[in-house]
Amino acid sequence: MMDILGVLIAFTALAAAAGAAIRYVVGGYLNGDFPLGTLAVNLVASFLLGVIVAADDPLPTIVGIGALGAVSTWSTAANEAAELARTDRAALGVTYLGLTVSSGVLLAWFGLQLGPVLF
Amino acid sequence: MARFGSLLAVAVGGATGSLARWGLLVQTGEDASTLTLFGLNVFGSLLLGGLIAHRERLSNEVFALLGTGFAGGLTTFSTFAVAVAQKLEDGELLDAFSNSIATLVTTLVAAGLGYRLVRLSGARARSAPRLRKIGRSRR
Repeated sequence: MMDILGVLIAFTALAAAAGAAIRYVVGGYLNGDFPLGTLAVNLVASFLLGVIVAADDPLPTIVGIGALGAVSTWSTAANEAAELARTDRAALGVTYLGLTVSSGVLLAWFGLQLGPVLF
Repeated sequence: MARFGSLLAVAVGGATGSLARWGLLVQTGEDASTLTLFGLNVFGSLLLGGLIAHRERLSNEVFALLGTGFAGGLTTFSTFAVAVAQKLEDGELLDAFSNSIATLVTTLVAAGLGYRLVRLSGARARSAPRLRKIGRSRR
């Protein structure tokens, strides 16, 4: 019992480490005046998580909670919006967060429709 | 090389933050998952705001470990997006909408607050020794 849980935790941790590293690299390439990199990882992860929740365990835990949970983030997005507000671009900051939420939820919904077809 | 150190720090911090998020979500149970995730996203945004305000005094690796890694992994967007999409599927439109607005506004406020609190306390800490020195010279 403990062994299986231990393996699950180890794989989830590894997947999360990879997810966070991917977010860091993509952000490094795409984030500029507008945080396009964070937006991209959040949207892709939302779609993929929507697809994967239909799969059997342990895929939703390892890939869903670990990799996709770590590749997507809220703290960075909120702080990027706050930074835009501090530099007199409050409207852009709020638009950025609103765009993240609305398109992320929409893509997650598409993923939820596609998941049961694949799994 | 410095970039590799930061990448490694992000990976370690991201794994730690994600395990903490998973553990807390499991501990609090499925019924409370919306509230737990909300709390995690708000706390992580506050923490990252404070770290950004303190950015110049932190090494790249420490910021990568605690900010991009830990706070980034503790908070998540994908789980939130899927939860809201599931509410939409179930026809719970008001729930989906209120959760979205509440999370968006509160995390934004938390990010700004974390930044401001650290900036204010930093300014006070820098001015305090000067006041003490003046006090001593008068004696």
